[in-house]
Amino acid sequence: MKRRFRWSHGHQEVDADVQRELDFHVDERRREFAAQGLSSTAADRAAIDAFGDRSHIESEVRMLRRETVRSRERRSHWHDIRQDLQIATRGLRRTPGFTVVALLTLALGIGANSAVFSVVDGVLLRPLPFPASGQLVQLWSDHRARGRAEPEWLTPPDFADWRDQNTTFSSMGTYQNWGPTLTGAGEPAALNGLAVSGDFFRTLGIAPELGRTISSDDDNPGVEPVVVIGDALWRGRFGGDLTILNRQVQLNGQSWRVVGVMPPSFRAPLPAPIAVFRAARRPAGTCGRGCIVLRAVGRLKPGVTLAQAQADIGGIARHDATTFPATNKDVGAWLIPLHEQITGPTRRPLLALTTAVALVLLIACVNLANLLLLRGEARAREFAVRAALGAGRGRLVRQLVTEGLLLASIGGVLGLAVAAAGSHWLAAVVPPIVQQLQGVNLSAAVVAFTAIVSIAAGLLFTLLPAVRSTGYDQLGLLRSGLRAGSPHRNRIQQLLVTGQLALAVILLTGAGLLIRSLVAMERVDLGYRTTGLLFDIVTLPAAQYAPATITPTMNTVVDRLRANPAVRSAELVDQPPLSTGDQDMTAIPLGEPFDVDAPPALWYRSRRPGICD
Amino acid sequence: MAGSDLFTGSLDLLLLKAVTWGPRHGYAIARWLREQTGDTLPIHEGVLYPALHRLERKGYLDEEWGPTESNREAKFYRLTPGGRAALRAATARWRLYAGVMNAALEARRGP
Repeated sequence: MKRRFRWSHGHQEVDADVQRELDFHVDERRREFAAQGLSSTAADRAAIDAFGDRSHIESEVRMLRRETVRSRERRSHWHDIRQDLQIATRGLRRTPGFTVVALLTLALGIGANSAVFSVVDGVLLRPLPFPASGQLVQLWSDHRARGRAEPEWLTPPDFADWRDQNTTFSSMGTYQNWGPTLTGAGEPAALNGLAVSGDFFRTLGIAPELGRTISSDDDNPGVEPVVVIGDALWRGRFGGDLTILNRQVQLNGQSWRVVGVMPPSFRAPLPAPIAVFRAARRPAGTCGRGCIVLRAVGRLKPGVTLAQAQADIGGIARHDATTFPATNKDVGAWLIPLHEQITGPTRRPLLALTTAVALVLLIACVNLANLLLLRGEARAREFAVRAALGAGRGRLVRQLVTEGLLLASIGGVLGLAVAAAGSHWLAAVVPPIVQQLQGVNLSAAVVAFTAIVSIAAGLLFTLLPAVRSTGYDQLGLLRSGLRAGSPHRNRIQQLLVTGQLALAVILLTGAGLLIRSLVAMERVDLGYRTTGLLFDIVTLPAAQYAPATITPTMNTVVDRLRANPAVRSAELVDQPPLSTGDQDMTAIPLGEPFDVDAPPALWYRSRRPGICD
Repeated sequence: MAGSDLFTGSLDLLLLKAVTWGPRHGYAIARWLREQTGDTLPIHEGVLYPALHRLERKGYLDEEWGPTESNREAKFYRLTPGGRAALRAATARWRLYAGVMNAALEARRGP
């Protein structure tokens, strides 16, 4: 203790110390010369001469001395911290019950926060895995004025107008689902495919791993049919063979030349991984402004905002609406940033979860503050003794805070383990498309977040008890040996308990509301009874079942089901009732000529009469 | 300037040696140096101080203010355990060096 006070000097003290030391030398030397018989002025002169260049030496010594003082202060600082940590460790070991409860509380509280943050970080904060992905926008047509609340796909002529007339996009690409059957390479397989425009890959900004992507030339009628395949199909079906390029593959019984392979990291912005891409190759004039078949993605020019783009494309759509009122009346443009398009649905549940786990940690901190306050009371004598031995109040507070931070750090490390386990489980709340594109893992950001949360929690639950526990008459307590709590402290404790209750009520109310809406969702009247109702998907590969055989085959399946004594009735449907994903088609009135600009599409579901039974 | 005529490190070696008898202040060390070397060291006395503080910076010396024989306040330098080890190593190096130099300079046969 004493030593430290000696070393904590400012520059002025250091300089005075050096001057005093050198003055002593010169003075001693002068006395020696005087003792040898020199006159007082001559002795002065001789001593100064013998010393040498005083100002130079003095400034050199001053600098050295400052360095020494600085490094000793640093060392003594570390020494104090080490001592605090040793005392803290001993203190925690002495009360294993408290330590275990505190660590478990912290591990769960911090772990829950880290787990939720790992999802928030992976899903909401990280950009999509495309170059300059902030520029990517999903393009929809807006049918809200016609009573359809969801954004709708585009028609080829509308898209062509948007692509050709806009001033805010550097490129736009379209894509449509395509489900070809692969034959001639092992077992026939139904593939997830996309028919894309020549600008699709350029818009996303992803280069192929091998060969090339689909280009605009592939879209021309009459050119050779080519495909680009995904990495998974290339490795899974073709063994990652480099000679895959220019090889012919059989899709839907037709021959296609493979011209490229996409890198493994590439994912189209769609729920299912895509195995194969072909050019859209839509014969001109067969699909008009009533034919809603395209999905489109665009890349904004650098520096263009979403609002500017929305105004730009909206203007084109309005112009089309007045030019082609039969099909385009009340149809607008609806631009959604691709990141929001993909992660949007997860935002609300994640925010709710974030709030909930933050509340849980707050409750945990209040709980621990309370425990520490009680512990502080039990340790009042220890503090009194240390205070009597010369430890200042600051030092005692620091000791308690060190204990809290030590607890919080260990809790944080345990919390990371909890988060590692929890984030996998939490990832289930994230739709698969988001998981595939973004991924949820314990990144450096999550570790940093955990560290910050741990330290904040540690300070939160120790500072108040630390200040309270050390803030009363230490010596009086030591003398009396009493352990009476001050009325002041009781008030603090009451406040803590009240706060804890309030937080718990908020959390419980939130959880209750969540459960109530879940229960309400379960009880929604679907219009039909779901008890005993089973649903399954039957797929018939096109390669093995000619179109003419499909209906008889499906009828056989249904007949066999009906023959089963456990089944009361069975029927076929193309989509389960109340699911999304309608088929759409263009309705052509019977007996009238086919008109590519026919009035709008119908959304339909095929069903058979027995489905309502 | 100062020390340029001294063999490198020899002043440090002498300073460490000077405090092996116990804590000494700078002036006492200077006087001891003068006596031991017969006033032949070609340096100003002040040069000792940067050297002493450098040794302290390295952790070889420790300092404390205290009263002298004549009851004046002076800064005393004390050898630390690290300083003692450094002195031992430097002395051994010096002896080896001096021995080799002596042997070479007193050679009887030419090249």
